[in-house]
Amino acid sequence: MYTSSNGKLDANVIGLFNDSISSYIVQLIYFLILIFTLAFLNQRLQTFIWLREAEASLKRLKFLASKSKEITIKKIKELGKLETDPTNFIESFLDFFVIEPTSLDPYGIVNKLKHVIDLRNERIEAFIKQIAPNIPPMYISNVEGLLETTIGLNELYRLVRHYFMLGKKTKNMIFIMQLQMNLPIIMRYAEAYFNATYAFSNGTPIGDGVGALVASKLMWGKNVKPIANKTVFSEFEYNKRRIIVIKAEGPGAEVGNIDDAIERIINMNGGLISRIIMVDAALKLEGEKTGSIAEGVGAAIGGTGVEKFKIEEIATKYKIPLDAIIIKMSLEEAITTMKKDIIESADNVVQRIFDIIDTRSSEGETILIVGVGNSMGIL
Amino acid sequence: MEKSSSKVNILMILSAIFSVFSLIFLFVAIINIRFDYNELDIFSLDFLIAGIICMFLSIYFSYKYKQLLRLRFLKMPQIVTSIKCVNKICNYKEERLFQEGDYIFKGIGKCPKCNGDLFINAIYTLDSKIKK
Repeated sequence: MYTSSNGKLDANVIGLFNDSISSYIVQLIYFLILIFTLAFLNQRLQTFIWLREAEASLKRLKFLASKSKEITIKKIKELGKLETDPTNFIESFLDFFVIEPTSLDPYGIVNKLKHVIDLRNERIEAFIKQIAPNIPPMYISNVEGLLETTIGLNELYRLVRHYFMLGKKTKNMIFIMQLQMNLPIIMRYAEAYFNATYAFSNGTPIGDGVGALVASKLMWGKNVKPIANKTVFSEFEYNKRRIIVIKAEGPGAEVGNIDDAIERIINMNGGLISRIIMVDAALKLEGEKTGSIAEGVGAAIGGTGVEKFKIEEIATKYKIPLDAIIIKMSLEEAITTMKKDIIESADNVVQRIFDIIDTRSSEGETILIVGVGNSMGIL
Repeated sequence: MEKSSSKVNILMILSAIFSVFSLIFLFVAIINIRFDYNELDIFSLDFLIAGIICMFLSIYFSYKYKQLLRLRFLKMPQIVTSIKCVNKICNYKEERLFQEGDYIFKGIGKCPKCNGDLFINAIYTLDSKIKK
Protein backbone atom coordinates (compact mmCIF):
# COMPACT_ATOMS: atom_id res chain seq x y z
CA MET A 1 0.00 0.00 0.00
CA TYR A 2 2.83 2.39 0.89
CA THR A 3 5.08 1.11 -1.90
CA SER A 4 5.24 2.21 -5.48
CA SER A 5 5.17 -0.12 -8.42
CA ASN A 6 8.94 -0.70 -8.29
CA GLY A 7 8.72 -1.74 -4.63
CA LYS A 8 10.30 1.42 -3.18
CA LEU A 9 8.69 3.46 -0.43
CA ASP A 10 6.43 6.25 -1.55
CA ALA A 11 8.06 9.70 -1.28
CA ASN A 12 5.08 11.01 0.66
CA VAL A 13 5.49 8.24 3.17
CA ILE A 14 9.18 8.99 3.59
CA GLY A 15 8.32 12.67 4.05
CA LEU A 16 5.70 11.79 6.59
CA PHE A 17 8.12 9.55 8.43
CA ASN A 18 10.80 12.21 8.41
CA ASP A 19 8.30 14.84 9.54
CA SER A 20 7.11 12.79 12.46
CA ILE A 21 10.70 12.12 13.56
CA SER A 22 11.63 15.78 13.42
CA SER A 23 8.44 16.91 15.13
CA TYR A 24 8.99 14.22 17.75
CA ILE A 25 12.50 15.57 18.41
CA VAL A 26 11.23 19.16 18.54
CA GLN A 27 8.47 18.17 20.96
CA LEU A 28 10.98 16.29 23.08
CA ILE A 29 13.25 19.33 23.22
CA TYR A 30 10.32 21.55 24.19
CA PHE A 31 9.31 19.04 26.84
CA LEU A 32 12.84 18.87 28.23
CA ILE A 33 13.11 22.67 28.30
CA LEU A 34 9.80 22.83 30.13
CA ILE A 35 10.86 20.20 32.65
CA PHE A 36 14.21 21.94 33.14
CA THR A 37 12.52 25.33 33.60
CA LEU A 38 9.94 23.98 36.03
CA ALA A 39 12.42 21.88 37.97
CA PHE A 40 15.40 24.21 38.23
CA LEU A 41 14.41 27.71 37.20
CA ASN A 42 10.95 28.22 38.66
CA GLN A 43 12.27 29.57 41.95
CA ARG A 44 14.75 31.77 40.13
CA LEU A 45 11.95 33.05 37.96
CA GLN A 46 9.72 33.74 40.97
CA THR A 47 12.59 35.46 42.78
CA PHE A 48 13.23 37.58 39.70
CA ILE A 49 9.56 38.67 39.60
CA TRP A 50 9.57 39.49 43.34
CA LEU A 51 12.77 41.45 42.98
CA ARG A 52 11.31 43.48 40.12
CA GLU A 53 8.26 44.31 42.24
CA ALA A 54 10.42 45.23 45.22
CA GLU A 55 12.62 47.40 43.00
CA ALA A 56 9.61 49.37 41.76
CA SER A 57 8.47 49.96 45.37
CA LEU A 58 12.00 50.91 46.37
CA LYS A 59 12.11 53.53 43.61
CA ARG A 60 8.81 54.96 44.86
CA LEU A 61 10.13 54.98 48.44
CA LYS A 62 13.27 56.78 47.33
CA PHE A 63 11.14 59.37 45.54
CA LEU A 64 8.93 59.90 48.61
CA ALA A 65 11.93 60.16 50.96
CA SER A 66 13.72 62.68 48.75
CA LYS A 67 10.54 64.72 48.20
CA SER A 68 9.87 64.76 51.94
CA LYS A 69 13.42 65.96 52.56
CA GLU A 70 12.92 68.66 49.93
CA ILE A 71 9.71 69.87 51.64
CA THR A 72 11.41 69.91 55.06
CA ILE A 73 14.39 71.91 53.81
CA LYS A 74 12.14 74.37 51.99
CA LYS A 75 9.98 74.85 55.09
CA ILE A 76 12.94 75.37 57.41
CA LYS A 77 14.46 77.88 55.00
CA GLU A 78 11.14 79.70 54.71
CA LEU A 79 10.33 79.83 58.43
CA GLY A 80 13.86 80.51 59.61
CA LYS A 81 14.49 83.09 56.84
CA LEU A 82 17.81 81.39 56.17
CA GLU A 83 20.40 82.73 53.80
CA THR A 84 22.65 79.69 54.01
CA ASP A 85 21.70 76.24 52.77
CA PRO A 86 20.88 73.85 55.66
CA THR A 87 20.72 70.76 53.40
CA ASN A 88 23.96 69.20 54.66
CA PHE A 89 22.98 69.61 58.32
CA ILE A 90 19.53 68.15 57.71
CA GLU A 91 20.89 65.25 55.67
CA SER A 92 23.28 64.30 58.43
CA PHE A 93 20.49 64.60 60.99
CA LEU A 94 18.30 62.14 59.07
CA ASP A 95 20.38 59.30 60.50
CA PHE A 96 19.53 60.38 64.04
CA PHE A 97 18.65 57.42 66.24
CA VAL A 98 17.50 56.57 69.74
CA ILE A 99 18.79 53.58 71.69
CA GLU A 100 16.14 52.12 73.93
CA PRO A 101 17.26 51.26 77.48
CA THR A 102 18.01 47.62 78.15
CA SER A 103 15.18 45.51 79.54
CA LEU A 104 17.44 42.78 80.92
CA ASP A 105 16.66 44.17 84.34
CA PRO A 106 13.20 45.76 83.90
CA TYR A 107 13.24 47.53 87.27
CA GLY A 108 13.05 51.29 86.70
CA ILE A 109 12.89 50.96 82.92
CA VAL A 110 10.00 53.43 82.64
CA ASN A 111 12.03 56.27 84.11
CA LYS A 112 14.99 55.33 81.95
CA LEU A 113 12.77 55.36 78.86
CA LYS A 114 11.28 58.72 79.83
CA HIS A 115 14.78 60.10 80.26
CA VAL A 116 15.85 58.89 76.81
CA ILE A 117 12.67 60.23 75.16
CA ASP A 118 13.07 63.62 76.85
CA LEU A 119 16.67 63.70 75.64
CA ARG A 120 15.55 62.91 72.10
CA ASN A 121 12.96 65.69 72.12
CA GLU A 122 15.45 68.17 73.55
CA ARG A 123 18.01 67.18 70.96
CA ILE A 124 15.63 67.62 68.02
CA GLU A 125 14.50 71.00 69.35
CA ALA A 126 18.08 72.12 69.89
CA PHE A 127 18.98 71.05 66.36
CA ILE A 128 16.15 73.12 64.88
CA LYS A 129 17.16 76.15 66.94
CA GLN A 130 20.77 75.64 65.86
CA ILE A 131 20.13 75.52 62.10
CA ALA A 132 17.33 78.10 62.09
CA PRO A 133 17.63 80.43 65.11
CA ASN A 134 15.03 82.86 63.74
CA ILE A 135 12.26 80.32 63.54
CA PRO A 136 9.13 81.53 65.46
CA PRO A 137 8.64 79.45 68.67
CA MET A 138 5.11 78.49 67.59
CA TYR A 139 6.47 76.68 64.53
CA ILE A 140 9.31 74.80 66.25
CA SER A 141 7.09 71.86 67.14
CA ASN A 142 5.69 71.73 63.59
CA VAL A 143 9.21 71.57 62.18
CA GLU A 144 9.99 68.91 64.79
CA GLY A 145 7.10 66.82 63.45
CA LEU A 146 8.24 67.51 59.90
CA LEU A 147 11.74 66.32 60.72
CA GLU A 148 10.40 63.21 62.44
CA THR A 149 8.30 62.18 59.44
CA THR A 150 11.27 62.76 57.14
CA ILE A 151 13.46 60.68 59.44
CA GLY A 152 10.77 57.96 59.46
CA LEU A 153 10.52 57.89 55.66
CA ASN A 154 14.28 57.88 55.28
CA GLU A 155 14.55 54.99 57.74
CA LEU A 156 11.85 53.05 55.89
CA TYR A 157 13.67 53.57 52.60
CA ARG A 158 17.01 52.48 54.02
CA LEU A 159 15.46 49.38 55.60
CA VAL A 160 13.72 48.27 52.40
CA ARG A 161 16.89 48.96 50.41
CA HIS A 162 18.88 46.86 52.91
CA TYR A 163 16.61 43.82 52.55
CA PHE A 164 16.37 44.27 48.80
CA MET A 165 20.15 44.36 48.36
CA LEU A 166 20.67 41.55 50.84
CA GLY A 167 18.15 39.39 48.98
CA LYS A 168 19.76 40.25 45.65
CA LYS A 169 23.26 39.49 46.92
CA THR A 170 22.49 36.25 48.71
CA LYS A 171 19.77 35.16 46.23
CA ASN A 172 17.94 34.08 49.36
CA MET A 173 14.35 33.43 48.41
CA ILE A 174 13.10 33.78 52.00
CA PHE A 175 14.52 37.31 52.33
CA ILE A 176 13.04 38.42 49.04
CA MET A 177 9.71 36.72 49.72
CA GLN A 178 9.40 38.35 53.15
CA LEU A 179 10.22 41.74 51.66
CA GLN A 180 7.77 41.38 48.78
CA MET A 181 4.97 40.12 51.04
CA ASN A 182 5.45 43.00 53.50
CA LEU A 183 5.76 45.66 50.83
CA PRO A 184 2.03 46.52 50.49
CA ILE A 185 1.82 47.44 54.18
CA ILE A 186 5.23 49.18 54.14
CA MET A 187 4.15 51.25 51.15
CA ARG A 188 0.89 52.16 52.89
CA TYR A 189 2.88 53.46 55.84
CA ALA A 190 5.28 55.29 53.55
CA GLU A 191 2.46 57.06 51.71
CA ALA A 192 0.89 57.96 55.08
CA TYR A 193 4.20 59.35 56.35
CA PHE A 194 4.55 61.37 53.20
CA ASN A 195 1.06 62.83 53.57
CA ALA A 196 1.96 63.63 57.18
CA THR A 197 4.83 65.71 55.81
CA TYR A 198 2.25 67.92 54.08
CA ALA A 199 0.17 68.18 57.25
CA PHE A 200 3.17 69.20 59.36
CA SER A 201 4.45 71.67 56.79
CA ASN A 202 1.03 73.38 56.60
CA GLY A 203 0.20 73.05 60.30
CA THR A 204 -3.21 71.45 59.71
CA PRO A 205 -4.86 69.39 62.48
CA ILE A 206 -4.16 65.66 62.15
CA GLY A 207 -6.45 62.73 63.01
CA ASP A 208 -4.48 61.97 66.16
CA GLY A 209 -5.43 65.40 67.47
CA VAL A 210 -9.11 64.55 67.87
CA GLY A 211 -8.65 64.13 71.66
CA ALA A 212 -7.12 67.60 71.84
CA LEU A 213 -9.97 68.93 69.67
CA VAL A 214 -12.56 67.53 72.09
CA ALA A 215 -10.74 69.16 75.03
CA SER A 216 -10.45 72.38 73.07
CA LYS A 217 -14.20 72.39 72.40
CA LEU A 218 -14.77 72.10 76.15
CA MET A 219 -12.18 74.78 76.97
CA TRP A 220 -13.19 77.32 74.37
CA GLY A 221 -14.08 80.69 75.79
CA LYS A 222 -12.75 79.78 79.25
CA ASN A 223 -9.64 80.87 81.05
CA VAL A 224 -6.73 78.65 80.02
CA LYS A 225 -3.61 78.29 82.18
CA PRO A 226 -0.38 76.31 81.81
CA ILE A 227 -0.07 73.28 84.09
CA ALA A 228 2.99 71.40 82.85
CA ASN A 229 5.52 71.73 80.05
CA LYS A 230 3.56 72.54 76.86
CA THR A 231 0.33 71.49 78.57
CA VAL A 232 -2.63 73.66 79.54
CA PHE A 233 -5.74 73.29 81.65
CA SER A 234 -9.02 75.04 82.18
CA GLU A 235 -11.81 74.64 84.70
CA PHE A 236 -15.51 75.40 84.68
CA GLU A 237 -18.73 74.34 86.31
CA TYR A 238 -21.26 72.01 84.76
CA ASN A 239 -24.47 70.89 86.49
CA LYS A 240 -23.00 71.73 89.93
CA ARG A 241 -19.86 69.70 89.21
CA ARG A 242 -16.35 71.07 88.86
CA ILE A 243 -14.83 70.13 85.52
CA ILE A 244 -11.11 70.36 84.81
CA VAL A 245 -9.92 69.90 81.24
CA ILE A 246 -6.32 69.16 80.21
CA LYS A 247 -4.78 69.24 76.75
CA ALA A 248 -1.49 69.93 75.00
CA GLU A 249 -0.85 73.58 74.22
CA GLY A 250 -1.89 74.55 70.69
CA PRO A 251 -1.87 75.45 67.90
CA GLY A 252 1.67 74.09 67.51
CA ALA A 253 2.32 70.36 67.03
CA GLU A 254 2.59 69.55 70.74
CA VAL A 255 1.53 66.43 72.60
CA GLY A 256 2.33 67.95 75.97
CA ASN A 257 3.24 66.24 79.21
CA ILE A 258 -0.18 64.83 79.98
CA ASP A 259 1.06 62.52 82.75
CA ASP A 260 2.75 65.35 84.63
CA ALA A 261 -0.34 67.54 84.23
CA ILE A 262 -2.68 64.84 85.58
CA GLU A 263 -0.36 64.17 88.52
CA ARG A 264 -0.18 67.89 89.33
CA ILE A 265 -3.95 68.39 89.12
CA ILE A 266 -4.62 65.36 91.35
CA ASN A 267 -2.04 66.52 93.89
CA MET A 268 -3.40 70.07 93.78
CA ASN A 269 -6.83 68.67 94.67
CA GLY A 270 -5.44 66.35 97.34
CA GLY A 271 -6.51 63.28 95.36
CA LEU A 272 -10.14 64.38 95.46
CA ILE A 273 -10.91 63.74 91.82
CA SER A 274 -13.96 61.55 91.43
CA ARG A 275 -13.37 60.46 87.85
CA ILE A 276 -10.84 60.82 85.01
CA ILE A 277 -12.23 60.75 81.49
CA MET A 278 -9.59 60.30 78.81
CA VAL A 279 -10.28 60.91 75.12
CA ASP A 280 -7.89 59.70 72.46
CA ALA A 281 -7.69 58.52 68.86
CA ALA A 282 -7.29 54.77 68.43
CA LEU A 283 -6.46 52.51 65.51
CA LYS A 284 -9.51 50.96 63.93
CA LEU A 285 -9.72 47.43 62.59
CA GLU A 286 -10.31 47.00 58.87
CA GLY A 287 -14.04 47.24 58.21
CA GLU A 288 -14.72 49.61 61.10
CA LYS A 289 -16.00 53.09 60.33
CA THR A 290 -13.66 56.06 60.65
CA GLY A 291 -14.79 58.34 63.43
CA SER A 292 -16.82 55.70 65.26
CA ILE A 293 -16.72 56.10 69.03
CA ALA A 294 -16.13 53.39 71.61
CA GLU A 295 -16.13 53.57 75.35
CA GLY A 296 -14.21 51.57 77.93
CA VAL A 297 -12.09 51.82 81.03
CA GLY A 298 -8.37 52.43 81.48
CA ALA A 299 -5.81 55.01 80.48
CA ALA A 300 -6.47 55.95 76.87
CA ILE A 301 -3.04 57.15 75.83
CA GLY A 302 -0.63 55.76 73.27
CA GLY A 303 3.05 56.33 72.76
CA THR A 304 5.86 54.51 74.46
CA GLY A 305 3.85 53.61 77.56
CA VAL A 306 5.74 55.92 79.91
CA GLU A 307 2.83 58.32 80.33
CA LYS A 308 0.33 55.48 80.58
CA PHE A 309 2.37 53.93 83.39
CA LYS A 310 2.44 57.16 85.36
CA ILE A 311 -1.29 57.85 84.90
CA GLU A 312 -2.24 54.30 85.91
CA GLU A 313 -0.01 54.56 88.96
CA ILE A 314 -1.51 57.78 90.27
CA ALA A 315 -5.09 56.70 89.46
CA THR A 316 -4.50 53.45 91.34
CA LYS A 317 -2.94 55.31 94.27
CA TYR A 318 -6.04 57.48 94.76
CA LYS A 319 -8.49 54.80 93.48
CA ILE A 320 -9.80 57.17 90.80
CA PRO A 321 -11.96 55.50 88.11
CA LEU A 322 -10.54 55.91 84.61
CA ASP A 323 -13.02 56.21 81.74
CA ALA A 324 -11.73 55.95 78.20
CA ILE A 325 -13.38 57.22 75.04
CA ILE A 326 -11.71 56.39 71.77
CA ILE A 327 -12.34 57.66 68.26
CA LYS A 328 -11.40 55.07 65.67
CA MET A 329 -9.31 55.73 62.59
CA SER A 330 -6.63 54.10 60.47
CA LEU A 331 -2.93 54.82 60.87
CA GLU A 332 -2.98 56.92 57.69
CA GLU A 333 -5.88 58.97 59.01
CA ALA A 334 -4.18 59.41 62.38
CA ILE A 335 -1.09 61.08 60.95
CA THR A 336 -2.61 63.02 58.07
CA THR A 337 -4.97 66.01 57.97
CA MET A 338 -8.22 65.33 59.80
CA LYS A 339 -11.13 63.95 57.83
CA LYS A 340 -14.63 65.37 58.09
CA ASP A 341 -15.88 62.16 59.78
CA ILE A 342 -13.36 62.62 62.59
CA ILE A 343 -14.17 66.33 63.04
CA GLU A 344 -17.87 65.47 63.28
CA SER A 345 -17.25 62.72 65.81
CA ALA A 346 -15.63 65.26 68.17
CA ASP A 347 -19.04 66.88 68.78
CA ASN A 348 -20.55 63.49 69.58
CA VAL A 349 -17.72 62.80 72.04
CA VAL A 350 -18.41 66.09 73.84
CA GLN A 351 -22.03 65.01 74.23
CA ARG A 352 -20.91 61.56 75.42
CA ILE A 353 -18.66 63.19 78.06
CA PHE A 354 -21.56 65.23 79.42
CA ASP A 355 -23.68 62.06 79.54
CA ILE A 356 -20.96 60.29 81.55
CA ILE A 357 -20.69 63.24 83.93
CA ASP A 358 -24.47 63.31 84.40
CA THR A 359 -24.84 59.59 84.97
CA ARG A 360 -21.65 58.59 86.76
CA SER A 361 -20.91 61.53 89.03
CA SER A 362 -22.72 63.40 91.76
CA GLU A 363 -23.12 67.10 92.45
CA GLY A 364 -20.11 68.77 94.02
CA GLU A 365 -17.61 66.29 92.59
CA THR A 366 -14.57 67.18 90.53
CA ILE A 367 -14.10 65.46 87.18
CA LEU A 368 -10.91 65.54 85.17
CA ILE A 369 -11.21 65.38 81.39
CA VAL A 370 -8.05 64.71 79.39
CA GLY A 371 -7.84 65.32 75.66
CA VAL A 372 -4.90 63.25 74.48
CA GLY A 373 -3.24 63.89 71.13
CA ASN A 374 -1.32 66.25 68.94
CA SER A 375 -2.67 69.77 69.17
CA MET A 376 -1.38 70.92 65.78
CA GLY A 377 -3.83 73.33 64.18
CA ILE A 378 -6.04 73.37 67.30
CA LEU A 379 -6.02 76.20 69.81
CA MET B 1 14.43 64.98 40.00
CA GLU B 2 15.12 66.83 36.74
CA LYS B 3 16.87 63.76 35.39
CA SER B 4 13.74 61.75 36.09
CA SER B 5 11.45 64.27 34.41
CA SER B 6 13.66 64.32 31.29
CA LYS B 7 13.41 60.50 31.24
CA VAL B 8 9.63 60.80 31.34
CA ASN B 9 9.72 63.18 28.37
CA ILE B 10 12.05 60.92 26.37
CA LEU B 11 9.76 57.93 26.95
CA MET B 12 6.73 59.92 25.91
CA ILE B 13 8.43 61.13 22.71
CA LEU B 14 9.67 57.61 21.85
CA SER B 15 6.22 56.18 22.37
CA ALA B 16 4.70 58.86 20.13
CA ILE B 17 7.34 58.40 17.37
CA PHE B 18 6.90 54.63 17.30
CA SER B 19 3.13 54.86 17.25
CA VAL B 20 3.28 57.27 14.27
CA PHE B 21 5.71 54.95 12.43
CA SER B 22 3.55 51.96 13.26
CA LEU B 23 0.49 53.69 11.82
CA ILE B 24 2.34 54.66 8.63
CA PHE B 25 3.82 51.17 8.10
CA LEU B 26 0.55 49.41 8.79
CA PHE B 27 -1.31 51.77 6.49
CA VAL B 28 1.14 51.15 3.64
CA ALA B 29 0.98 47.40 4.26
CA ILE B 30 -2.83 47.38 4.20
CA ILE B 31 -2.96 49.48 1.01
CA ASN B 32 -0.56 47.05 -0.72
CA ILE B 33 -2.42 43.96 0.44
CA ARG B 34 -5.64 45.48 -0.87
CA PHE B 35 -4.29 45.87 -4.38
CA ASP B 36 -2.27 42.67 -4.60
CA TYR B 37 -4.42 40.38 -2.52
CA ASN B 38 -4.12 37.32 -4.72
CA GLU B 39 -0.35 37.01 -4.67
CA LEU B 40 2.21 37.06 -1.90
CA ASP B 41 3.55 40.57 -1.74
CA ILE B 42 6.91 40.68 -0.07
CA PHE B 43 6.86 44.48 -0.04
CA SER B 44 3.62 44.64 1.98
CA LEU B 45 4.80 41.86 4.30
CA ASP B 46 7.90 43.88 5.17
CA PHE B 47 5.77 46.88 6.02
CA LEU B 48 3.42 44.71 8.04
CA ILE B 49 6.28 43.30 10.14
CA ALA B 50 7.83 46.77 10.57
CA GLY B 51 4.43 48.17 11.59
CA ILE B 52 3.87 45.43 14.17
CA ILE B 53 7.38 45.88 15.62
CA CYS B 54 6.83 49.66 15.88
CA MET B 55 3.46 49.06 17.52
CA PHE B 56 5.02 46.79 20.15
CA LEU B 57 7.80 49.33 20.79
CA SER B 58 5.24 52.09 21.17
CA ILE B 59 3.24 49.99 23.65
CA TYR B 60 6.43 49.15 25.56
CA PHE B 61 7.52 52.80 25.84
CA SER B 62 4.05 53.99 26.82
CA TYR B 63 3.95 51.26 29.50
CA LYS B 64 7.33 52.43 30.80
CA TYR B 65 6.10 56.02 30.70
CA LYS B 66 3.01 55.13 32.74
CA GLN B 67 5.16 53.13 35.18
CA LEU B 68 7.43 56.13 35.73
CA LEU B 69 4.47 58.43 36.22
CA ARG B 70 2.95 56.04 38.76
CA LEU B 71 6.25 56.18 40.58
CA ARG B 72 6.20 59.94 40.75
CA PHE B 73 2.56 60.82 41.37
CA LEU B 74 1.75 62.76 44.51
CA LYS B 75 -1.56 63.02 46.27
CA MET B 76 -2.21 66.64 47.16
CA PRO B 77 -4.84 66.79 49.86
CA GLN B 78 -7.42 69.51 49.35
CA ILE B 79 -7.87 71.12 52.75
CA VAL B 80 -10.93 73.14 53.64
CA THR B 81 -11.36 75.67 56.44
CA SER B 82 -14.86 75.96 57.81
CA ILE B 83 -15.79 79.29 59.39
CA LYS B 84 -18.75 79.86 61.70
CA CYS B 85 -20.34 82.72 63.59
CA VAL B 86 -20.18 82.69 67.39
CA ASN B 87 -23.82 83.70 67.53
CA LYS B 88 -25.77 80.44 67.47
CA ILE B 89 -28.95 82.10 66.24
CA CYS B 90 -27.15 83.67 63.27
CA ASN B 91 -26.04 80.27 61.88
CA TYR B 92 -23.66 81.93 59.40
CA LYS B 93 -21.30 79.40 57.81
CA GLU B 94 -18.57 79.76 55.24
CA GLU B 95 -16.05 77.42 53.69
CA ARG B 96 -12.83 78.28 51.94
CA LEU B 97 -9.52 76.65 51.06
CA PHE B 98 -7.07 76.31 53.93
CA GLN B 99 -4.58 79.15 54.32
CA GLU B 100 -1.33 78.84 56.22
CA GLY B 101 -1.77 80.11 59.78
CA ASP B 102 -5.34 78.83 60.08
CA TYR B 103 -6.17 76.83 63.20
CA ILE B 104 -9.35 75.66 64.87
CA PHE B 105 -10.91 78.30 67.17
CA LYS B 106 -8.93 81.10 65.57
CA GLY B 107 -10.96 84.31 65.48
CA ILE B 108 -11.13 85.83 61.99
CA GLY B 109 -13.10 89.01 61.93
CA LYS B 110 -16.74 89.91 62.07
CA CYS B 111 -19.83 88.17 60.73
CA PRO B 112 -21.30 89.93 57.66
CA LYS B 113 -24.79 88.87 58.78
CA CYS B 114 -24.99 89.79 62.46
CA ASN B 115 -21.62 91.47 63.13
CA GLY B 116 -20.77 88.77 65.67
CA ASP B 117 -17.30 87.20 65.91
CA LEU B 118 -16.30 84.68 63.29
CA PHE B 119 -14.08 81.73 64.16
CA ILE B 120 -12.65 78.67 62.44
CA ASN B 121 -14.67 75.70 63.64
CA ALA B 122 -13.13 72.97 61.48
CA ILE B 123 -10.22 72.22 59.20
CA TYR B 124 -10.50 69.02 57.24
CA THR B 125 -9.39 67.28 54.11
CA LEU B 126 -11.52 66.50 51.09
CA ASP B 127 -10.73 63.91 48.42
CA SER B 128 -7.14 63.95 47.22
CA LYS B 129 -6.09 65.71 44.05
CA ILE B 130 -3.41 63.97 42.03
CA LYS B 131 -0.36 65.95 41.02
CA LYS B 132 2.18 64.53 38.59
